[in-house]
Amino acid sequence: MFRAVLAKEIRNHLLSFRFMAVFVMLMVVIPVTVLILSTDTLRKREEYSRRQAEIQAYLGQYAHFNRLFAVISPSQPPIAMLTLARGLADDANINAFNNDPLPVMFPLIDLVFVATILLSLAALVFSYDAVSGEREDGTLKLALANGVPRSTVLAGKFAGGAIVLFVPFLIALSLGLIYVLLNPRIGWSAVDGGALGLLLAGSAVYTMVFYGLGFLISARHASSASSIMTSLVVWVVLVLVVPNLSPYLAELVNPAPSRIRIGREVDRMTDVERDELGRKLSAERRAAVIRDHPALADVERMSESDIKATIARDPEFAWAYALFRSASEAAWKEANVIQGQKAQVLREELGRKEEAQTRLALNLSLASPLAGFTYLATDLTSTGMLNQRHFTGLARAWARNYSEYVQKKMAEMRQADPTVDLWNTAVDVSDMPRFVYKEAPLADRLRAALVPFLILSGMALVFIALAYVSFVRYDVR
Amino acid sequence: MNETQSILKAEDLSKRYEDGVLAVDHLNLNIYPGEVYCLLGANGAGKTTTINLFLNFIPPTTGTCYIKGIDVNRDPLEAKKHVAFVSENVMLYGNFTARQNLDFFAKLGGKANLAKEDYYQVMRRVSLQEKAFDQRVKNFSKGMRQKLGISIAIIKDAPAILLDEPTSGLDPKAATEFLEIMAELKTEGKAILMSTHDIFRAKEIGDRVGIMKEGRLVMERTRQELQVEDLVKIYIDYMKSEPLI
Amino acid sequence: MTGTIVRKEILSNLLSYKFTAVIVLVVVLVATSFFVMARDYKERLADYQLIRPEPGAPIAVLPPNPLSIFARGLEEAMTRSFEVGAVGIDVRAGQSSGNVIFSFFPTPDFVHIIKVVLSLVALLLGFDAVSREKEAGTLKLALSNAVSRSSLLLGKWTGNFLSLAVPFLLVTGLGLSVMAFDPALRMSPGALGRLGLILAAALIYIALFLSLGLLVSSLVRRSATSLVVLLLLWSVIVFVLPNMGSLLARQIVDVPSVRSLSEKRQQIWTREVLLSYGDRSGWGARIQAMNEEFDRMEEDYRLKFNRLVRTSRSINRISPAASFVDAATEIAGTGVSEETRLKSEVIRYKNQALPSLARDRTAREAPAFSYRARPLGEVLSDGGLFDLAWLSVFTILLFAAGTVAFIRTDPR
Repeated sequence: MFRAVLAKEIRNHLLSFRFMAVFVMLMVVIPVTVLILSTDTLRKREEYSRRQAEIQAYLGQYAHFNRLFAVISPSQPPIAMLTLARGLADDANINAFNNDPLPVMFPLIDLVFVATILLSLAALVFSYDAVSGEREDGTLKLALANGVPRSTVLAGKFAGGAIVLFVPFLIALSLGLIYVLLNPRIGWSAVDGGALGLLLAGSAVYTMVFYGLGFLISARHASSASSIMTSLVVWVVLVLVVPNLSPYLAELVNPAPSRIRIGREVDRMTDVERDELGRKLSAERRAAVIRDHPALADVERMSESDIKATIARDPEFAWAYALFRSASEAAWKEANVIQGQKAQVLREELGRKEEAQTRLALNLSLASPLAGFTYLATDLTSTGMLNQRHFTGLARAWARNYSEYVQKKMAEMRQADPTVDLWNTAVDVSDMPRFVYKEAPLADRLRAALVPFLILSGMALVFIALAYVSFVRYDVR
Repeated sequence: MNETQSILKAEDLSKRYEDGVLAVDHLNLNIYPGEVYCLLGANGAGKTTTINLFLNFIPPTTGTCYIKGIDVNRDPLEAKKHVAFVSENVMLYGNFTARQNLDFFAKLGGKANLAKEDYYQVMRRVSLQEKAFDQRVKNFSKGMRQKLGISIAIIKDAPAILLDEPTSGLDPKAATEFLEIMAELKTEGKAILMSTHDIFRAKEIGDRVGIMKEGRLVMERTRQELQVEDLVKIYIDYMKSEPLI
Repeated sequence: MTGTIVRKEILSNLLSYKFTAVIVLVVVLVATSFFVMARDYKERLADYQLIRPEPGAPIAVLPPNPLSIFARGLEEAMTRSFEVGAVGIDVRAGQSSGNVIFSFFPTPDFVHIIKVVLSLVALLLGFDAVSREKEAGTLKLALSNAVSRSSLLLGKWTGNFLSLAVPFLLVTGLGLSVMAFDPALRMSPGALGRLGLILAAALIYIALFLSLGLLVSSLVRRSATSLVVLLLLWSVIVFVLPNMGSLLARQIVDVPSVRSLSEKRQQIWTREVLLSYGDRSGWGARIQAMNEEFDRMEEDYRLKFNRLVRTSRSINRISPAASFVDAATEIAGTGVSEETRLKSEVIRYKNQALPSLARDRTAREAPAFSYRARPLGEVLSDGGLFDLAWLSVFTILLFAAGTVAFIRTDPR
């Protein structure tokens, strides 16, 4: 019985105009997107290696420790997955003077976008009249006039529609994927394949959420004309409104001070205020030393050359002067530490608040399946928040290695020539530790994607269950 | 009868669709004031096409339709001022009440300044229940919608009325009421062209009855002739006969 | 006669579930967007008061643009603080950079709501305007009267347009008057004029989608078909084309990445530090030379980049949604051209402030930075008018095509 309903549903969809329309659209949009993104990725790859080569050539000539870190600061190489998903790729570069305004105006298209917007819309177009439309045609009455339980009808309709919707997506995607696989320069790996498989599972669940939702709405309306309206309104709210509003709502509930403001305050603390404190502390300490050592009585009024002359002449003065110097240095050091701690507190406070806000925004946005799927997809494809953290971790580990290397190198330099300027001398850095980026392991990505995946699955189940309840009570007349 | 007086006139009217089907084949028809003309025929015989040709919904392949002497194809807007139309199974605007539907179509028919009472009067005349006057049409039964359709035609007060299978799907009581209204309109001097499947009612109401088959008018009888001949027998005979060459 | 049809269309809309659903959506969204974005603006205004440069400090910061409440555009990039240092411009980003969720989804400003939601709503009003009447048989009934088809279609168009435009303008007006009570949000007459122009653009944009809806509705027999076609067209026009366009332009015009530029800059700077070591006297001249090199690099970049922007815009113009967004943001002063212009002003300012900084890094004698957005006339002659005209032409063509389709449509 189920098979009969399923077969009818599939046949009915395959012969329908909307199937043709959706199929044609996906067949155009997905391969074209993959094609353009592949070209873009290759272009970025080329540019990346050119930049790396430039840095290499540069290091051979002008490396010195004063500003070396700024030159070799780690950057993320373009990964193969960028041919399908762009995620948080920082195309806008808001922190650089020559930022790129285009991605801000028109977010660039990728597979995640195709799935989130086009697939969800298609799911509603396929399901909005699943119940109400059949009622209008009278076919629902005919079907239910036989000994078929409603649950079977529902299951058959649901499975049929979902299959018919997802298969064109898969076909169109495999078309694009063939291009990616045939292009060795993209370097598509087995891990990428695994990530893509998981991504497809996620998009299947995402599609089910909207299919279930459309079904539910259809079973709550008598006419298909009103069920499509409700479906579209709900779609707009879930897909286009909730995710976009959530960071603003989070900002409203959990405000965080602006970064510029904190930055300015930190600057003031570690600059002007530190100088004041340092002067005050060092004056106090120096006065104390002078009190204990009468030989230093006039030191504050002596000129530099006088001091040098006195040191050479008077060993007691020289000893006391050394104390005097170190007291002053210690005072400045202390001032640095005190102000540094204050600034650290401020920074941590900002970090905490920002994190609280981000977490709230994240949780709010998860009310929208689109947001859930976006997080899932970007984390799986190494283009999302997980990757940002992962990259920061890698960069930090490398920075530690680098500073160890600098210490070691400087010690060597000092040994060779004690008077050398450690910072501003050209050095050979060919043995420097290099920053190597590796994507986060698939297991980590899977773990990160699990929460949104479970939420999506839960949503799909809830919608299907509600659709079932509504369908059982549906007035077929 | 004087030909110049005919309100609805088809002259050598033919319609061949793009798929090659000849739906109307050299039809000649004259319908005079105070006359009801019933077109009988099987599905696909060309009855509805004829009415569509009169309304300029489709252009004729050859020939001309005239309404009150005006060439429908040349001046459709002027011609349509003089004709009212009742279609088979009209849904109307479901969200509008009966009166709102009536009001809109009355205005389209050129009747601008009608009072509420005028609408009620027409709806009473077609014996629509009072309580339905200000209800949404969405919940109307087929009979009620059809009555409202007729009141739309009545309120336009045009000399010609075209009805496309108006009684199909109506219960006997509603159909009888419908025919009573037709009879009234006839006495008011309207020229009425009605396509129908209902042989008995055609015999009852029609001043003339024509049978169409494959686009041709194969038989025409007046009321007097039908007093002595059996329409049912004629109809069935014609339907059975071999296709015309 | 057209008046009768207009009245009937409006009444018919008012009584329908469809209309109630979509208008509630529009009203709620516009109101929410105003509230959220106005609050955001006030927050940024408060921030600006804090980071406002002291007199003499070589810092260029623009105050937030009140019109960014409606058209956010590149506001975030434009209100960054540009601090002129001895070796170039140090950029500090603004408010939202701490919360990464902001960068996942587009800003829900007024322009976004119009671009995405209002266009959809206009299509939903238009998609069954003709086909539903065919299905219900009322089209036959209406056309059995002495009504010309063109006046019937014009009546339908006008009725549906008014049904959408009036509630939209009402809620916008209401939102604006509520905002007017807050002194921080009060807008100058000039800004209000610009807003009026954005609204006019929005109305043309709505008209375009309504005409598209009527066209498709006249072409097909069934409302369900019309809806599917229109939804797919909508997603292509609003999402696929503009987003793919700028990506495509990038494949055509080769522009180095921003990253490579900043890396180059660091390299030059580091090299100069090394070369100048031990020769402090020439530092001022070196800074000058370095800046000239940076400027050359950047000018080269900007030249290429402007070509990219032009290409991208030309491609995107295929989509009316992109045209509308471009026009609206330029009018609001948060568009791509305005931002480019601001950046060149900042560079000019840097060159002004640099000599004193080269002498003394802590000098506080820089002139104050001032920037005036382009006057409206210039915005319009600079492409704004073209976009508006393009939208209008598009609308008229679609309406004309719709009329032809409706005249040819088979009412049976």
